[in-house]
Amino acid sequence: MDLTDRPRRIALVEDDGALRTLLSRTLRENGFEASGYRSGAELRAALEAQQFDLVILDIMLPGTNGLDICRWLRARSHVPIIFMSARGQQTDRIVGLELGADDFLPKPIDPHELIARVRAVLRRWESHPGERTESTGIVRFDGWSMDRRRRELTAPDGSRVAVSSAEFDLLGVLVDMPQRVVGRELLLEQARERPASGDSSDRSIDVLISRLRRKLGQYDGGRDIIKTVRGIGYVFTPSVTR
Amino acid sequence: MRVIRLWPAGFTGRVTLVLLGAILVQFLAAAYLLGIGERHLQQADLARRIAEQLVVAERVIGAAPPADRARLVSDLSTAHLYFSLEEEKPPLSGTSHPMVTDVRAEIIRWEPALAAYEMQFAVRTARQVGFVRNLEGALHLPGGPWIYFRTQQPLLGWAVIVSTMIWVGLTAAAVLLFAAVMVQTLGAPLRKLASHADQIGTGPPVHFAENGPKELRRVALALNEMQARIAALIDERTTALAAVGHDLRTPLARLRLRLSAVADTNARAAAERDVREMEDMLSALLEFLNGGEEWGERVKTDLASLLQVIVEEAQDLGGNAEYLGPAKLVANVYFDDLRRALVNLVDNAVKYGGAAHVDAWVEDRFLIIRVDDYGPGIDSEILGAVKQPFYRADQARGGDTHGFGLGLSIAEQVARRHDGELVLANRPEGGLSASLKLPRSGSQPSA
Repeated sequence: MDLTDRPRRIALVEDDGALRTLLSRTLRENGFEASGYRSGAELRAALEAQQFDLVILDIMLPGTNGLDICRWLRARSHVPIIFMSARGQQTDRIVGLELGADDFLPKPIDPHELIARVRAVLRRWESHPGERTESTGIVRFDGWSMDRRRRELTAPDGSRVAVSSAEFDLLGVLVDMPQRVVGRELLLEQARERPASGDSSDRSIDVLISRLRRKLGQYDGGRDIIKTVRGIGYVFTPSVTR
Repeated sequence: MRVIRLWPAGFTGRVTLVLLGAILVQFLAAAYLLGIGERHLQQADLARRIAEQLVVAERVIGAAPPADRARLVSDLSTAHLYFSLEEEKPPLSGTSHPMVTDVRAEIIRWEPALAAYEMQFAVRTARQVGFVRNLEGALHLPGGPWIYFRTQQPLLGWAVIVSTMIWVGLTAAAVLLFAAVMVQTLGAPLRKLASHADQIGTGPPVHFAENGPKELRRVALALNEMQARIAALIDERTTALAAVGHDLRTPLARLRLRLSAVADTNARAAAERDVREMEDMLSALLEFLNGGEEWGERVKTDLASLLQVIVEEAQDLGGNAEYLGPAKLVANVYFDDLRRALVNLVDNAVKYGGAAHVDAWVEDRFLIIRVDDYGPGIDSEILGAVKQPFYRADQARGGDTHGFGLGLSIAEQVARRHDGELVLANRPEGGLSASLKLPRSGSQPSA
């Protein structure tokens, strides 16, 4: 899924002027077409004239808050929504996701993390545009379930398995292309934006894959979920249901 | 030398002592007043008898022939009073005494006719021991002899006074005993109040029942209100601190984004580290402040995966960390809380102890997660203090100040939320060992 054939339009609703400018700039530098809005009212006005591929919402806004805007948006469109909140607490996160947001980012925003999440949400949306109407963003494979909005992975025996943010996104890319060979380049594109994955070489992908395998491998059949195609990339073997 | 404490420490002891003093004073006063009253009664009694006998003697002398007079007067003597007739004024061996005036007045009041005669009185000491005294006196018949009289019995009836005083004393002792029991009973709510007051600040608010005597009700009310005020004050401060924390995040986020425009790669990397450190501090502060709010439910979790993620993240940041535990370990835990606590323990070990060796196992009814490091450890004197919020063990841990000193406090909060504890110990082979000891709530051994 190539995200560069057409610049994706992103609406950013953030009341802090400087932060709005800076985040818009970061998005533009990464190939997105970003428009900043100060409030829900401005966003509504803009939506009269154009469509967006993704909306980034601050929760704390003067007037209509981000949660209300989210509710309003969801009533009329399936556009992907990412929340940002300085309160960063679990209640905000859960409420935001319950309202149908696709991801949640705690403030202060790490620009790399933001770009990675934007790409992940867009890719997920564009590879499975119907997903939203059918389910809550939970995908299942081999007894496992992966809640993409809550970023939780659950093993066949019902226990939650912790994976890092980078591992989760990598698994997300694979889950979107089951039973197909996925090239390292695409996986690398995801991993590259991560601040923590160090050398950003092919090797870092191998490290992430081996960590994922070890965690999945503790459960029956888990070891074979991700297979290596020597010299090319990886295959996600189970069939995926949504 | 041991000083004997006369003033008791306790409320009951003190009040009892005060009561003892009061009753003693009352007893002495009663004894004195009873003594005076008894003496007056006896004196009046004596004076009347003397007066009556004197009137009889005067009449006998007036009617009888002179030869019989002395015998007749002597016959008037009784067991209590001695009478005799003297030709000359008898020498009164006693001294003058205030009692004399009273007795004379009473005699005249009883027999006013006697006022016409000359009378003399004296009190003489019959025996030194026991103050045994007699009253003597003489009445001068006009132009003739004197009638001498003397009491045969001691002037004061000590027996009556002593028995009265014994009764008063016994009553006083009974009153004192009863009062002491009452004071003990009255003191009970006060002692209860004190032991409850001891609990203030150690846990949830202590409610004081507003009953008992009026003063105690006021104390209970005051304590309840004081606790409410303190809680409100703490809430206010916490809210303010949390608001500051939140508000700092926005400028910090701007700063971080602005840094991407810095051309000098080294300077940018250094500045980004600083920003991240500030963010971590703010996160720790907000987590600590939110720690009091219990949120979420226990989730069945593969702890091995959680520990591996934390260890691997530490490795990715260049830290020396290793996970030595089982490949799978399932337990019911508060996922996000436990993650936070473990991140703090591993970060501490990497930063201050050079390396983090993480192990986890199930022992009896406990799930134990241990993080060992290879640093200098912590002085045993401050081992208990390092869990206090905002405590920095810089001196003991190499002086590299980082954060607010909340990491261990948060870990302890999380341990408590799991009904467990955070145990810190210096390892015999060197380094610090931090263990979360959590009661197993549905945890299972590794499969």
